[in-house]
Amino acid sequence: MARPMKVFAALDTEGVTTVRVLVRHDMETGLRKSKKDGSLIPAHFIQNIDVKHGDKTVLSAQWGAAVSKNPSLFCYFKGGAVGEEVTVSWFDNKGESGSKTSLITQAD
Amino acid sequence: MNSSRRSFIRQSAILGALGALHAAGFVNFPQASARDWNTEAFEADSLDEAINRLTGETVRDGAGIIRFVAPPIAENGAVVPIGVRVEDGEEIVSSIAILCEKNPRPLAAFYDLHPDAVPFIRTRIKMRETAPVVALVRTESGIYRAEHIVKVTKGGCGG
Repeated sequence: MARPMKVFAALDTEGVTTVRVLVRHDMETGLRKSKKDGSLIPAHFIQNIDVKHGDKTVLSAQWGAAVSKNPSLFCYFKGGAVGEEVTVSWFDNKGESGSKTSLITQAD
Repeated sequence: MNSSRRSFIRQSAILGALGALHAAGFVNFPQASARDWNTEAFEADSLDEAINRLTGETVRDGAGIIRFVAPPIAENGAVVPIGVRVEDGEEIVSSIAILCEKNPRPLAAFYDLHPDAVPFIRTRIKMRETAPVVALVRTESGIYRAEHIVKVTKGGCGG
């Protein structure tokens, strides 16, 4: 199932690339009850999210269910150049995954 | 990659191996994943336990080097923006963890950083109630801790 995802990467004048990630995901904790019948809604959340600059993993994250619904992530790294690729990949506890590549742009 | 970073993530590697066993049907282990995910730490139900499982060693006061970029009051506990930044120094920061003391599962997020990464992470988390948010930071000289209280006026765990 494809889940919408956005990745923005922008290089500033100090040489730092800001990466902004948005993923559409429910991030169910497994602790909430269904309003219909009171049964627990099964946990369903992103557990891993990796940010790569080319082949180099600049950030490797592990998330718990406490990360908000439709998660956002900001991270920053040095050594990027305009036009280079940044790839963000995520994996959830039910085996779903997603990935998106964006090119680094010049920050305003 | 330095050795201290390795020891910090060793636990998750072991757990990853257990997860693989579970997938093969040998061990009854919840939330098995083939990828690194520190099940023990994420499933700890108290702050101290989560920190123990995550670090297993002395944690020092990091109030002087860790800076929070987070509001003092959150109207909606379901979406609390938390930024954790380590002040510029000579030491490389290899990981950052974000925990919330009063959540059912205190550990919210754990980040491994490449030496090229700027030690600054921003994520939005859920908070059940007013509580200290705790940041743990692993540098070359050890693990540091700081906290920042967020007052929550509407909890983030309800239906």
